[in-house]
Amino acid sequence: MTLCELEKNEMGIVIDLIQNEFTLKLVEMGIYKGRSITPTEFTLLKDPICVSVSDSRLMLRKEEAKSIIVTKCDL
Amino acid sequence: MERNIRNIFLIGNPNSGKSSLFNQLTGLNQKIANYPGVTTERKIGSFYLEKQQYELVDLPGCYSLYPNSIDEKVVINELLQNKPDLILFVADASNLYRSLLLYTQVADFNFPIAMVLNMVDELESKGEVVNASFLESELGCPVFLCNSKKRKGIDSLQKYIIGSDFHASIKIFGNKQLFSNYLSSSNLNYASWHEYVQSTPSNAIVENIKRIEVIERYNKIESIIALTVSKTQKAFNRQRFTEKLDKYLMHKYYGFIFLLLILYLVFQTLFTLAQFPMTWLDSGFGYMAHLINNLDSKSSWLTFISEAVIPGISGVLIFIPQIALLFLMNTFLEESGYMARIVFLLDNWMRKFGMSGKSVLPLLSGNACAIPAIASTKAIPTHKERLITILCIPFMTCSARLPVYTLLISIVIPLEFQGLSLLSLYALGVIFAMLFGWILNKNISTSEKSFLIMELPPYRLPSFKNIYINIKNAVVAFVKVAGKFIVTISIVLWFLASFGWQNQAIQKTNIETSFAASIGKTIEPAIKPLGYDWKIGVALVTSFAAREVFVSTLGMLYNIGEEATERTMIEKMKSQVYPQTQLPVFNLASGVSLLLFYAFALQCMSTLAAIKKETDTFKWAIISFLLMASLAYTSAFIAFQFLKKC
Repeated sequence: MTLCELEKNEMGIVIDLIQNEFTLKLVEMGIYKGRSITPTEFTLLKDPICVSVSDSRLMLRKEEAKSIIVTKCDL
Repeated sequence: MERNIRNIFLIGNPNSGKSSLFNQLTGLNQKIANYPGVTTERKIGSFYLEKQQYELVDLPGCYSLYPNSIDEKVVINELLQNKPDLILFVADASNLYRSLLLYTQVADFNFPIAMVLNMVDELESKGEVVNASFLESELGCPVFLCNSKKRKGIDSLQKYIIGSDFHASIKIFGNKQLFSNYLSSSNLNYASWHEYVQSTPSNAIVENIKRIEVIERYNKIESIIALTVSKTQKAFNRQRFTEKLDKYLMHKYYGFIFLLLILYLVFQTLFTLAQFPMTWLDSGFGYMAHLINNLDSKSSWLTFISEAVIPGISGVLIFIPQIALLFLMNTFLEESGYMARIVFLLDNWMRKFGMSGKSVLPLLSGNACAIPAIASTKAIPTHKERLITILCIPFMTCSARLPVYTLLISIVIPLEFQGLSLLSLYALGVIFAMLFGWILNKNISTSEKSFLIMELPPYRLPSFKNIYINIKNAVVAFVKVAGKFIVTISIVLWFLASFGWQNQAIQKTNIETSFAASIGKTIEPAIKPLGYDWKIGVALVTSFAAREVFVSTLGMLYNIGEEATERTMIEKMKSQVYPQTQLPVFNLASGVSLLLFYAFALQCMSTLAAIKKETDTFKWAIISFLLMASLAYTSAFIAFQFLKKC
C-alpha cells in the first residue's frame, strides 16, 4: 500500500520508494526503506498531508505520498 | 594580526536558529547584497574580536548539499568557489538527526569546522539530553552548546574564534568508493564529486549514487546519536504543544477559519498602523516644501528643491512605514512557524493557478509593495511556480494605487458606494492575479516536476532582535534600490513639467507649454477613446515612475495651490470641464475607466526592474508590461464606451 492509504495516526514502515525527481529529497528528509512514518494531519483532499517521521513533521503532496510504499505496522 | 580579514561561513538547516546566531555575532554590522526575503541572499556581517576582523557569511538554510532551489544552490557554490577560514555549523539539537546529514556533507569538504548546537532547551523539553563531549569525539570537531536567542554560550564561542588556529574536522564521513568510477584517484574527494555533479546533466546513475550516499550517512548518524543522546525526565514538551495546537490550526475546516482570522488581523493592523506615520510624513514634507518656497519664490534653485527633490524623497520615505510593518508581519509569521501552516492549508488551491503554497506570502505582500514581494519568491523551489508567482504579484493592489483609488472614487462614485468600490478594486486585483496565474499555467510548459516536501517547525516565540534587524535591512534595501529610481524619475519629471521648447530654446515655462504637455498632447488621440484629456495623459506618463505621482501631477496641472487640502482638490477636479462641450472631465465613465487602467497597468519602474532581476531576463519584464498594458487599455476602453451611454 502507499502512504496515502494509511489512516490518520496509523504508523507505517517504508518498504520502497518509487523513483521520481523528488526521491532524493524524500531520502534527505529521512524517508527511506526501514523508517517509520505516520500521517498526523490531512487537508480536505488529503493533498497535502502532514506526516511525522524521525522525530519531526513534514508536509507532502499526494503525488509524493503515492510514491512512498509502506506496510502497516501494528502496535 | 595574522591576516587582514578572516572569513567565516554560517551553515545550517532552515529554522535552526542560524539567523539568530548571525545577529548575535554581528549585531547591526550587516550588509546584504540585495533585497532580503527571509534569508534569501548572501548576508554578510563583520565583527571584531581582539582587533582581528572577521567576516561572517550567513548562507541560506538547506537540508543537504544537493540543492532544490535557487537559495540552496548558493551554499554549494560558495563552498566550491570560496575557501572559508572556518565554518560554523548551526545544528538544531531537537532535530539532530537531520542536522547531522548536512553536517557530515559539509565536514567532508575538509575545511576547519565547529558545531554550534542550538536549542538544547527544546531537546531537553522532549526529555532528552545530548552529551557534548561525546559528540565532539564522534564528530571530530569542537561543539558549543548555545541558545542563540538568549546569548547563551556565545561567549565561549567567541573565545574559541579568538584563541585558535582553526583545524579541519578529523573525520571524513563519506564513502569515497561510491564516487571512484567518476573521479581520478588523485581527485577522489567529496568536493571534486560535487564539481563533477554540477558539470554533468543529472542522470539516473548519479541520482542513485546520491541516494545511497545519503542513506549511508544516515546509518552512521544513527550510531552517533545512539552514543550521544540519552533520555531523561520530561518537562514542558514543545512538540506535544505544537501537535495539540495544530489539531486546530491545521484542521481541514477550522484551519481555514483561523487562517482567515489571522490574515485579517495581520492586514488590518498593517493598514491601520501604517496610516499614522504616512500622514505625518506627508504633511511634514508638504510643510517643508512650503517653507522653502516661501524663502524666495523667485530662486529657481529653491523651486527645484521644493518641487522636485523634496517630493521625490518624500515619495520614497512615505512607503517606509508600510514596508517596515510588512516585514514585521512577515518575520513574525515566518519565525513563529505559522507560515508553514499557511503553505499546508493553501497549497492545493494555489496549485490550480500554477503556484504553490509558498506563493501565498509573496502574493499577500504584494498588497503592500510588489518589490519586496517579488524578491521573496526565491524560496519557491520550482522554476515555473516561481515565475508565475512573480508575474501575478503586480496585479495585487499595492499601496501606491491607494491614493489614486481614493481620489478618483471620491470624485466619481456616489458616497454610499465608495467603500464597496474600494473593496471591489482589491477583489479585482486578487481575481485577476489568479486568472493570470491560471492562464500562464496552461501556457507555460515545463519538464520540471513540482513538489512540496517541507518541514513543519514547532511553534516558537519570535525574537525581537531578529524582527528588528530584518525590518532595518528591508528598509535600507528599499531606500537603496527603489529610492534611487523614484528620486531620479521625479527630478526628470519636474524638468519635463517646468521646461518647454520656446523661441528655439529650452526655457522655463508653465505646465501648459512644457515638454510634459507636448507629450500629453501627442498621446491624446490614443487615450481619447478611454475618456481622458491631455492633462490626464500627462499624469499617466508621470505616474510611470510610481503610481501615486498621478495625484500630485493632476494637482500641478489643475493649478491647485500647494496649501490645497484633499477636499479642495476633489472640488476643483469635479469642476473641470472640456472647453468645447462644457461636459465634466471626471464623470462616472472616465472615472471607472481610469480606475480600471490603474488596477491593471504595470506602471512601476521599480517593479519592472525587480522582475528583470529575479527572472534574469528582460523578456518577462517586457511581456508582463505589455500584457498588463493591453489589459488596462482594453478594459478602460470597454468601461468608458459602455458607461458613457448610460
